[in-house]
Amino acid sequence: MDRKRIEWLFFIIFLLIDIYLGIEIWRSPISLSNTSGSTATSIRAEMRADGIDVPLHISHKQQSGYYLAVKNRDYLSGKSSGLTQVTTHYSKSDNSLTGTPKSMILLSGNRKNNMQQLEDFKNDPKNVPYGKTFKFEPSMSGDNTYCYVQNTDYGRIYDSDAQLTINVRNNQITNYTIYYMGPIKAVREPQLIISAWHAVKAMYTDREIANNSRVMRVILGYSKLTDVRGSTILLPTWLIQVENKTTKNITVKRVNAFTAQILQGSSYNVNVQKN
Amino acid sequence: MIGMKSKFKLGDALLLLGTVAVFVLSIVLWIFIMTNDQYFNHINQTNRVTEQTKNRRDRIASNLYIPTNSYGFRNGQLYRLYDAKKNLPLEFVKEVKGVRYRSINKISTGKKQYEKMLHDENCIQLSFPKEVSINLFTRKSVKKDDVQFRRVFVTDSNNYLYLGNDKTYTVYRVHLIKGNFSKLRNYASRAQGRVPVEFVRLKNCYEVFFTKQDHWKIYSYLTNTQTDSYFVSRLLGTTNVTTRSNKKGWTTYSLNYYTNLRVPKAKTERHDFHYTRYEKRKDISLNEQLLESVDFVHKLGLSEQDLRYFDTINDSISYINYIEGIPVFWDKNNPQVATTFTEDAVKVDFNNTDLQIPIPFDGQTKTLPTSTAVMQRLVNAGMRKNEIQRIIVAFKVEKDKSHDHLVNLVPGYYVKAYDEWKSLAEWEKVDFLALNKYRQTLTEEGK
Repeated sequence: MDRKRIEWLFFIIFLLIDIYLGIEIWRSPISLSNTSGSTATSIRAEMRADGIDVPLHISHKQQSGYYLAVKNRDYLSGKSSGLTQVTTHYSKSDNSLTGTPKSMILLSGNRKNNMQQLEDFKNDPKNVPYGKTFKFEPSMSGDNTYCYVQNTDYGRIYDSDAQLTINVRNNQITNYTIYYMGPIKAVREPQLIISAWHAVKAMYTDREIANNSRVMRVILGYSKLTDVRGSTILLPTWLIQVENKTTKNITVKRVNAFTAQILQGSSYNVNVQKN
Repeated sequence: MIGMKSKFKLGDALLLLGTVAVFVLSIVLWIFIMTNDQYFNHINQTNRVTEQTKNRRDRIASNLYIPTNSYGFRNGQLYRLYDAKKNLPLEFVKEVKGVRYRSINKISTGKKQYEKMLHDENCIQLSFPKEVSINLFTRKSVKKDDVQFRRVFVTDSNNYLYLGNDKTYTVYRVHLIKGNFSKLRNYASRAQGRVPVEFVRLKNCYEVFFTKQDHWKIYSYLTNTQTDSYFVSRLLGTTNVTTRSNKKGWTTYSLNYYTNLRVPKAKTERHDFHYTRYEKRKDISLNEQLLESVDFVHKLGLSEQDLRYFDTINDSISYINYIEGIPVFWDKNNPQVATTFTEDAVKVDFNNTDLQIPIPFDGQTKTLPTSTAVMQRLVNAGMRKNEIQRIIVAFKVEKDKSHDHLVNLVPGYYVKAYDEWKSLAEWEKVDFLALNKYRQTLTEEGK
């Protein structure tokens, strides 16, 4: 009887082993994803040791990006006549247009409703030229300043020359200022760009992230590169928002998403009073 | 009683038989796994440095060894597909990244079947400039006897990919797990740029022949030229480097007797740099050699964004920048980088200038004849038809006088024959009578 029990035991154990091995063979696990787990972990550990906090879920996925170009023209000066619901002032020096509503536009006071009212305001071509091409950017907005950035088929442009800022005071739209770069075109077909994590890593290894700071947000957007033959060239960049844990200052730095190099002189500080 | 006893014994015997069977099966399965090297891909390297080097090499290789062009049919006509918003070869590479490979089988080796596959109107084709192997493309040991291919056929099925080797007329079927090429199919069907082409059999491959005289765009780029010191520090380091100049316009930087970098003097306006490291040739496979050359390419620190594997001639592996699927030749007919593994040295020849920023197209074009007309011109000049290996359209870099760092990429025909790349104009100047005679002597001596 004991011998029979032992035989059953052997039978079941080996059957389970066979099933396991069979599943292993069936799965034929040849994965193509080149995980660089150990490298990522060690850099994360080094960053932690330097007091740098990085969001847990930062993408390792490579995307594609374009070189974009826009013709350097004055797109706003001729738009004043169509803006019948605002009084306008065009500044030739910085190619910007300021609009002040002719009649009072009261906002409801509730942030969500305010957003919808502002959206309706900017999308009306009698108020704001090219308004529909601008998208709200919360990281650049404050209590009384609502910032929108120029959006394209390829992504958002993060540049002072492609921005719409609507100012609000006492629940009332006081005025807006718009900078518009023009219609954007891709110069060449898309190419692979580095992942968000690669950009953070590049910034860290280039000692561009100070110790005792926090990486708050990493977003992909287009930034100005250079002017040539009457056009402005833009390229995909990772915008990395870093907060100093002590001073609470927030700095945004840009990493060239093609080459992983830091765009020198392109960083700026964010001074936002959040709700 | 006897019946019960025999029943009892039968049950015992079955149990014993079953136990032995599962035991033997487990040994068989275990041996199968242990002898199949696919399963060892997951064994972690203890040496982190080796692992990191491998990861870096894989990442770079995955950008260098990718298809450069895509083709598809519409109403029975074959087109070279191009879309300014979607890079089709890149989409394919993205879609193939999540795929797992179950098996690879040879399904045909005949010319007729191969040409049938080439002209299958339901397929999207992606081509490499030169044969690569499945293990190199996937960076995994998918198949022991590595399969060489130059063409990928994406059919309506997500479960299979087909690989084609022009040279041997072999078609392989790859069984996939989790394949999904719907985006690629979608983009290919909507691709805006369509240039009518046909496949013509040349010496070792099916070449893409442009069937219409066409206006080809002249693109412009801002370039970035790195200094000697940049390459000296990357290739030789910063200490113990000696410098020696000669009257022929070269400066040689040496780390030791075995390692040096020869650069043209700034005044010569040349950009061909030559790095040499003397070392005994390792006995490695072509694949390993291709991967090893990646390390040298990366070490140079040039932009790798548009750089693709282009060709292997004898022991020289060349990499070229591809703009919109068209290769770019520097100077006369130099690639961006060429690594050569000889018996006692590794040589890296490269251009120190990068194509950095693309400039918007300004409307300039150049009219090029059909590929057939080009072939006829070569034959008329005396080139033997069976010596023509490739006929392609490529860009030649020309300086733009309006700006210091501005260059124009002017399209033109380039031909590979007698194992050498030259522009059409250069080939037309060759004394084919002498060349053919010389080749014939070589062949006879070889016999």
